[in-house]
Amino acid sequence: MVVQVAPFAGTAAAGRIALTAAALLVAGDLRAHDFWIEPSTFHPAPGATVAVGLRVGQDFVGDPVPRSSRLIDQFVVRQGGHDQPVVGLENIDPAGWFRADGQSTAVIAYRSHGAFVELPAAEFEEYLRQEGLERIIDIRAKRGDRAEPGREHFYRYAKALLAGERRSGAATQPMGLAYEIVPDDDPTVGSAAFDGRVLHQGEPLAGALVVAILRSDPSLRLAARSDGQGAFSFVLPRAGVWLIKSVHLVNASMFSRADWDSLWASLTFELPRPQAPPDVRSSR
Amino acid sequence: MKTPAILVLPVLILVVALFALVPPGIRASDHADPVNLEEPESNLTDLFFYPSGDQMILILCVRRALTTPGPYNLEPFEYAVHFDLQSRVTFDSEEDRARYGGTIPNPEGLRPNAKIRLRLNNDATLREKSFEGLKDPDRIRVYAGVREDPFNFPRFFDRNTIAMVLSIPMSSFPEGQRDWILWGTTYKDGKQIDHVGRSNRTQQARFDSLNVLPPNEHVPEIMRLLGKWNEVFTTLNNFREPQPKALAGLIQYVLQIRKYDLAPDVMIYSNRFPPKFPNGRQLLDDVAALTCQTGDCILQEISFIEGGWPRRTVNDKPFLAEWPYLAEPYPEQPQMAPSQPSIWPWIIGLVILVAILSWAVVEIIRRSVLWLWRRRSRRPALAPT
Repeated sequence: MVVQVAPFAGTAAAGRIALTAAALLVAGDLRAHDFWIEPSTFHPAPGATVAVGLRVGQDFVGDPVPRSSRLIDQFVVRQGGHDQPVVGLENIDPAGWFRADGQSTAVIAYRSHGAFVELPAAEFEEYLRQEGLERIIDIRAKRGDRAEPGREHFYRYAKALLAGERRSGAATQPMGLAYEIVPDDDPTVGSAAFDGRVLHQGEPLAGALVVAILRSDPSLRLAARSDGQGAFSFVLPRAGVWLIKSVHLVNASMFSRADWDSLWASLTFELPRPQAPPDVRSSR
Repeated sequence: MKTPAILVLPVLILVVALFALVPPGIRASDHADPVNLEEPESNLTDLFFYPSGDQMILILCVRRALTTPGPYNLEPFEYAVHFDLQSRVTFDSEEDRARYGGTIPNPEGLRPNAKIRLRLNNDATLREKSFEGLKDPDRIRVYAGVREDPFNFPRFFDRNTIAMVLSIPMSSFPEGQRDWILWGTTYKDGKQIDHVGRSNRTQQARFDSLNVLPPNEHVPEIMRLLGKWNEVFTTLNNFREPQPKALAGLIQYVLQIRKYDLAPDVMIYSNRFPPKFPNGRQLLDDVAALTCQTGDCILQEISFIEGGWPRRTVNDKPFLAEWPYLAEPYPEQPQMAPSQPSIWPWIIGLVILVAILSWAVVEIIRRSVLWLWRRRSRRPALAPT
């Protein structure tokens, strides 16, 4: 297998991380690897210090990704209407920390710089299929590029929602990421129905494959395609920590060494157990 | 390999710049939180808290490395020990228990609800005492005076300290009290100038700024420092040259916040567990060795450097079984003449300044020449006619 990888920024440290990511991208079952945020808690108490881990892996089982300032484009938490940086230590996992105000739902957002990866044609096509990007296969076929290796810059856009004492509008607002999953309602307050939108550059994206995975049972995978308004829906069958993810590919810019830019969006949150219905007998 | 002088100068500049960035307290940093070495009597050196029968023993020491006779400069200062007897402490984290004695889930909620205030005369005897939030204040026994320094550390062997020892009946605390959070402070003119919580924390250079803050502001301040020093470390570490990388290593060791530092500097004692540092602190606890087990080893190293072999694990003078527990003081020694002001720091500063300016001029000329050379080299050759 031939994999060529180089960091977009052209640095050694970023190169090592990109190489790791690329190795994970093509290792084992050849499935591409997801990237998500895993905080130390999804429901921090007011004043608590939350450690924010980054993970790369498959089926919601990930390896820690240490903080790398060369890869981070943005790493913030939005709470109480303000964005604060998630501070951390270089080359250390967890990648950052912040103090939770715990008053309302907090949104952590991570945006990476791009990293270059080149995959042999067969592996590239397999990964496109797994991420529901058959249209890219068709485009490559029309261009007569199917035998060519896949060259792309990949970008990570990860978000996590942490429950507070009350719901927050921030949970349902875009964070300004290039590719983003935005719920229609705050899922941390508990509702089996998860409705959301997929946004590319702030605009609804139609036809995107969106997958939901439950951490405690990764075999439980739900999939949906976004409609013309970028909307999709799931009925999440169980409480627990969920990962919602989607991948989008666009043409790389004219002067890029890559043919494609792949945009990886993820959203993690904990769906609480439904509250028991009121006891009718005792309320009489 | 010979290092080009042109690389040494930028590093020199960085060192000077960093030195300027570091708060004055850190530059003076040494054992026992010396926030202001010009007034050593303000410096808290030790805090002990442990049970003895139906009493809790509290010892607060000030004035490190004392050898001289009085009178001292104690009257301007107020010494206080604060108790938060309400904030929740959890013990689920083995790491936090080993390092801090427990976990405080909401450090920003820390508030004292009991307080002991002490003032001393310049001969180290007790001048004033007051108790807030403690029952049976008349049953609280207080001693103040010069005693042998109880810290097990070679630099402070054969040295004295000024100690305040209290025996507090358990009945002074709320009934059924299981967990204690406490810290000590020094005030001058109503302003906090020193802090002590869990031993061997605020005396670390990286925590120096905590000395003037209440514990509920410690974690935000540590977060701020974490971001700041990580940025400096990363910038220096990304240089190709070895000198900035070496400086980054030094910063990592001395000033960079560790991932396990995000806790307020307080002492935790719980009677759910046997008393032994960091569950409170007893006189016999070998703090330098115990804190080294969880990451902070500088005192342990210095105890090897300055001490003999094998390393002493107990104080140089046995403690008393009876009140006031601390050993009798060593004999006083005559005061040494203060060192004379020197012109050398000014000369060195001037030399560094001249070196920096010279380097800047040479570097501007060198880069200009290189730029012109490259520009000339890139000019396309004319096609032959």
